[in-house]
Formats: sequence, C-alpha cells, structure tokens
Amino acid sequence: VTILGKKGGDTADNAVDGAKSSPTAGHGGLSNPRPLLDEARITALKNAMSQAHFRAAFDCIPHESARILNQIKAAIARGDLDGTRRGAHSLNGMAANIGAERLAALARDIEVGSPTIEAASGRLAHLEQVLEETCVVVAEIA
Amino acid sequence: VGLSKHVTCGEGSLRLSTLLSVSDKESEETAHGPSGETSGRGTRALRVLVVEDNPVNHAFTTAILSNAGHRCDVVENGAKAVAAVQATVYDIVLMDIHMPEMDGIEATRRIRRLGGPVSRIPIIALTADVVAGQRDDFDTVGMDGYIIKPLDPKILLSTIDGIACKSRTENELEIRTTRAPRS
Repeated sequence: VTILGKKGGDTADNAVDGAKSSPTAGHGGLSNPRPLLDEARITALKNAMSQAHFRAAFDCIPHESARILNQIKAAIARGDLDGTRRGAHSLNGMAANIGAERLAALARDIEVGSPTIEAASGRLAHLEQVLEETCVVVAEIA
Repeated sequence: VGLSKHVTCGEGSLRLSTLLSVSDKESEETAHGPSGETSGRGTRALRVLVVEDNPVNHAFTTAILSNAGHRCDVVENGAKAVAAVQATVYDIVLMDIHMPEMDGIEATRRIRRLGGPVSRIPIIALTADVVAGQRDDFDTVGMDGYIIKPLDPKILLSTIDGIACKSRTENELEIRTTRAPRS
C-alpha cells in the first residue's frame, strides 16, 4: 500500500481563536491548548467547495457532535470502555476533518489515553465544554 | 489482471494492482466516461462511492469531489458498500475503516471475493491512524492505498486524478495491445 497522504502539520499560527499550539501538545489539556478551529484548515475547505456545500456541511456539525457526545455519555454510564473509545474515535475524526483541533485532541485523549472508564469519565466535562465552545465558533463561520 | 504497477499522474502517486476493464467497449466507456464528461480539473469525471458513517465527514468529502466535477454516492457502512458496488458501476471506492455493522476491512475483503470486474475496483482507505499492523491489513484484503484523515482536499483530488489517469493509461494500453497487428 502506498502512502497517499500524511497528517497535517502544526498550524497553530493560524489559530482562529488566537490560541497557540505546539508540536509537543499532543493532548487537549489546558496548559497549552490547541486552537478551537484551525484557520488554515477552514480556508482549505472553503477553497475546495462551493459556499453552499460549505455551509451545509458545517450546519451538520452541532447535531452530529451532540449525537456522538450522547453516545460517549451513554457508553460511560454503562461502563462500556470499548463503546466509549469508539465514540471518541468518531468525534476525533470528525473534529480533525473540520479543523477543530482542541476538540479532536480531547476526543483522542479519551480514545487512546484513557485506560479505564473512570479516566474517560474524568475527561467528559472538559470535552463537553470544548464541544460547546467549538459549536459556537462553527456557527459564526457557517 | 493482477498486474502491480506504480502510476504517477499530476500530483497523485499510487500503486494499483488492478485493471478496470475487460473489453474494448467497457474500456472505451471507462477511458472517456459514460457521457464523456470531464472533471473541473481537466481529468475525466469519475463516479465515486464514499463509504463513511459520519455525516459531517461525508458531507465534506462529497462536497470536495462534487466541486471538482465528480459524481458521488454515499453509504454509511461496509455492508451497504458491498451491495452498492454490485448495483452500480463505480470508478473508485473511498472506504472508511471504522464503521458500524461492517467495517472497511471486511467490506473490502468481500468486494474482492465477488469475482469479475467489480472485484477489481480501486479501493482507497480513509483512516485516522495508520500503524504497521493496519497497513498489513490494508494490503492483505487488497486495498490500493490509503488517505489519512483529516482529509486534505488536494491529496484527495490528486488521488482521484491518479485513478482517472491510471485507468485511462491502462485502458489505452489494453486497447492498443488488443488491436495491434500480429507479426
């Protein structure tokens, strides 16, 4: 299999909300938060599609992210670590695709950095908070 | 069939191990598109099956491809992808890996076992992470390549262009071979 793509580089200088990230900021922690939205990513998406398509896609984000968050909450409530990780994986992928770097990092923390359901549960409130903040910025862009 | 070659076309570079057509008539259609359409990038428009369970992800993927002149259909799991490729002729499948009901690995395995031209359709994995073991899985089930999420529009389109270029080149080669006078 030939590698056709690679993960995007650090684009913190283009952070929409002015926050800075660093190559070592591999998590969504508060000490060195990643940007809510990566402006370079947003620009690339805007340039690759019509305005109508861009709006339509962005309009899906609040509903879909809320749906996945509810999946994660439900999985945590029933002590289902695999289900929690699947939900976090889905949220991570979606967030990364739209350039929601902080949300993606937090979701990834739950997906791969939470060895127990308690650890995942401990990150839930922060995830929910960042998801809300991300949706506010998304609504402004869309 | 079964030929493995590395094809470079424009920005795209990929290895493919399949031939898309089996007859001159089908070759002509594949080389020029059923209606002779071209994409907005000068390459022929392709019919793409996007297999992705997340509505936001497939909205962006199809928007990028549609804007470039390609035609897209979307299904949300592997089982529906296996059914879709048997019902419609696609030029390429973009296959998410983690999906409910049937994942992309199993769907690819089943498509490759269908037999006939449909089993040789190019399948590109869409994946968030690629570790060594996963690359082996992609190879084992017969995927033709992978694109790492988040999707870069340029990489996505260059990959599609590479498929279009590859199918045209191989079909033209096949036509010439078929029509070459015997010595």
